[in-house]
Amino acid sequence: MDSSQNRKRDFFPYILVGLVAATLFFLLLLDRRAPIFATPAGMAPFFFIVFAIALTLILFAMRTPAPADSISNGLWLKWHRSGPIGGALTGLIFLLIYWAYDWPAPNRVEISERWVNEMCGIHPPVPDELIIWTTPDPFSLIPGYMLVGMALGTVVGLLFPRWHGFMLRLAQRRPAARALSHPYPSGLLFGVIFGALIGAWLCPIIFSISDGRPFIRVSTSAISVFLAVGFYLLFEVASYRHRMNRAAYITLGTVLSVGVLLTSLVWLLDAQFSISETAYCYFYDTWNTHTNQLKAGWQPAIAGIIYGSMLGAIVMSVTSGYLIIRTAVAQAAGGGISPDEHNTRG
Amino acid sequence: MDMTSPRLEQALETLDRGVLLFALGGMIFNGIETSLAGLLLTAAAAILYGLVRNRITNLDHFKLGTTPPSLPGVNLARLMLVCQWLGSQRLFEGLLGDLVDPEIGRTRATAQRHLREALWPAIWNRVWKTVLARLWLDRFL
Repeated sequence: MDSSQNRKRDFFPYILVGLVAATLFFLLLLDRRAPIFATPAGMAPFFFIVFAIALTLILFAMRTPAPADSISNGLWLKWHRSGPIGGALTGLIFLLIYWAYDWPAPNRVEISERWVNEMCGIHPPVPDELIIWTTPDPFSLIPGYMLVGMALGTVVGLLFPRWHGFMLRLAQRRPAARALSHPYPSGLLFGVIFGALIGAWLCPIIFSISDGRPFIRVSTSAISVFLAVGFYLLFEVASYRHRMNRAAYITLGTVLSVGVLLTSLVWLLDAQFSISETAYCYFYDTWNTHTNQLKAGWQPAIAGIIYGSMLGAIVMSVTSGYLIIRTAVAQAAGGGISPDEHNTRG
Repeated sequence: MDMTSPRLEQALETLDRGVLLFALGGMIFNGIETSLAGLLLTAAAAILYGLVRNRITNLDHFKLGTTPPSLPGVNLARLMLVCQWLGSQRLFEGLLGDLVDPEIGRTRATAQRHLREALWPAIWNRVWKTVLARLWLDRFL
């Protein structure tokens, strides 16, 4: 490969992820808020054509030699910066899907203080003057979501390698804990514990802001985190396509299937058992509307723990899958990535 | 991309047919429902597919032996892109030959008029032939 080819950038992952994100944006966001396609029959051809474009691009990318930047220097998104960048992007995707699914719109009823009397059956009803009727501008929420995402991503990026290193040492000392040396259970446990800690702290704070915004449904959160981590996964796999082997593709399929199943399960349970509405009424019940303060007790924190651990499990389930794919690729390539990196990254 | 494999070529032709039929179906469904945005999005997606597909298919069949001359008022990169999309190196070389003709390449306006007169019919001809071929209507060509 000559020097001009060495300098060539690999734009395929950007194009592919952009295409998928734009398509999902139409499907999930715009079409749900303000339908573009009159009927599903009008929408299906559009998605088939986008699928055909993606297929042509993938075919092209798989048959052309790998640009230097995708084979010489490993990941574009280095581990130390993947946390904050990934976190900030996750925050943005979270907000976009929150806006699309839960924000007040003419064609749906949101979960918010406006409907609390009907939804939660409060007797005596909360008087109108205690209810916040205005809804904040979604654009004003962008910095907050991105900053919180960035902060959480940075902490996870710093903590998870140490956590996994600790799990590896623990597995060496105690054979009973050997299962935890694998990235998937280790990541899942990290997601549950760290998610629970964040949930206990963040959920009551978010609820206490109470500025008329709707409550984020559990299913919306699950879809958001799955899509955010899924985009990241797709990006890295597309960058690494020339080193992906059969085992890595099987792992990719398994990881995505598990992610889809987990997300679908959360969505189904939420829809069937009205978990989000129940959670909202529960939070509302713990909120003293007269003093505008959270009532004393652990109950809001416990609800936050459950909410946070569920999201943490989904995030780390997909992220750990990515780490396993990297290991499979590196093993097939004969140690192109150092074993030490595998231990910390997967 | 090496598109010489007959099986791959066959599969891509089937995909082209699928895209064309879905595009027609989408135009009909969205047209019946008078969804202008749906019509435009479907058309844009189909055009983008055509551009991507042709560009990729003709990537290897278009190599220049010599550096083309610099011509005033003519964006050679854009001209090459269009000819590459049309898959015709002969058209590109023919147009370059025309443009060095003092009568045609004398001014910016005459050169651009000549390009428009040559390229638009070529593009429409190409699109028409492709549509007919993909709809099994080759006998009308």
